[in-house]
Amino acid sequence: MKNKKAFEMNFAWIFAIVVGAAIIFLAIFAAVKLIGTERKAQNAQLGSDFETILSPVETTLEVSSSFPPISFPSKTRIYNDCKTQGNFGVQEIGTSISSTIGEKWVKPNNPDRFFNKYLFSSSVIEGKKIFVFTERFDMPYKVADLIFIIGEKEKYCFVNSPIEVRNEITALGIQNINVTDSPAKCSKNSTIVCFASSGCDVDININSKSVKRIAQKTVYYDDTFGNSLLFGAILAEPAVYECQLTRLMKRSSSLALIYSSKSAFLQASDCGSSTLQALLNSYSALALSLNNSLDIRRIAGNAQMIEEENKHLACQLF
Amino acid sequence: MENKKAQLKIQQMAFVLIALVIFFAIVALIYLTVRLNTLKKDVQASENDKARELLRKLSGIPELKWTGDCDSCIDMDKALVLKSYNKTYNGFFGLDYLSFQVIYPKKTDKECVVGNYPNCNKITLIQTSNFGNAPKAYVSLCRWDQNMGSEKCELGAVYAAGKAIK
Repeated sequence: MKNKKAFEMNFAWIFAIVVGAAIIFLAIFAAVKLIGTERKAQNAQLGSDFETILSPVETTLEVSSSFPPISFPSKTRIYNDCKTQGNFGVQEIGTSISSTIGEKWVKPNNPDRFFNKYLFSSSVIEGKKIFVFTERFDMPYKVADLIFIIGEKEKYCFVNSPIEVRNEITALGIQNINVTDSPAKCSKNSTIVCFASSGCDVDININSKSVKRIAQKTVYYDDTFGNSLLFGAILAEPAVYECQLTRLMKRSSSLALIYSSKSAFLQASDCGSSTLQALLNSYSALALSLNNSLDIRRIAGNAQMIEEENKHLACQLF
Repeated sequence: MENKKAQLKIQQMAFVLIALVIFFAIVALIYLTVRLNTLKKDVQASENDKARELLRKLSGIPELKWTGDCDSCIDMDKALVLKSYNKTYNGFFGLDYLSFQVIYPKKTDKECVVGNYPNCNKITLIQTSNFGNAPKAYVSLCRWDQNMGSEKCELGAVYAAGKAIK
């Protein structure tokens, strides 16, 4: 007779195992969901804090200013998304903290949206520390403060830059931008930016006012009213630069209408100028029609005419 | 007899397990409610911080910046003009409330429009129906004075409230 003894389980055991497994499954499921939610909340909180930190990063009377490096508690990514839709376009800033559970980086679905901020940087900045500086953008009046962000691993080496650019960089004291007179003096892993020669990572043509990155589209700037656009063209990706320039022109166009209305309003006090109003109105339309950065020099030419006209007024508009 | 005892044990265990599940569900629910509440408060605090920061920097915004070299002066002429562009600037400042009020010299308590300007004391640029706490900051409110034929600055306050979290 064979031994027919088998592992026997009573109903209580089977019931306990099934329900226990269900409870454990639910607990794990809830924990995973909770971690995901917490991660999103953490990213949103960081984004909001970052936005609050960026608020004072603006100029008042000064032309440019730099700030102490911003440090994050752990490795962080900042997503710089620029969109041109609407009256002023939108600056979207998303932040994400690296995680050891699940995906390392989760791009936030709901980034913070701003109409009055202009970030010039790579589309994704990564690191525990970032460097921030601002430059005023005038054309011919103050249009906005441009915010430049450089990641801790990004290093730039400006070779043979014009004296005013060199002075500005030195005054700002940005650690990750080095100014030198020869590409050989640049550190190995830095992006070499040449002002007087070509064949570097970024070539600047001062005559045509263009910036060309290796294997990327050429972008154009204008420096009649300052170097902010030049810095923007060097430090931002071409797509980001073109988008921010379009947004800046939209803002400049709206401001032209405000100044024109103010001039018309002050005309009652014998303080307006119909010539200036006409110039401002046509400038507004021109700025709004910007197709790409190649148009910026034409717009800057008009802006110069406005500046000249404003100078002759007893009560200047700006 | 033995069968009945076993059935009772199964029932006991089933009740314990159900009680456990309900207990954990209640704990999770309480945690989520508290966490969500804290999160809402944090976001509102963050919005208020942003409004306060904006107050500090408002005079640097080109749409309100005074012509002269003054880092705490608001151009009231521009503010008045900006009122007529409220559709274009809708949502631009990210605020629920923004107004400027002349404190000294004392003026009639009236909202400024082109018809009564400058014999009024208040310009409200943004006002939503349910704005929260609006902190204030003191500023100089400057304008071109027709009688004096020069600029005139008065003591004023700017009030701003961040976006309310619903």
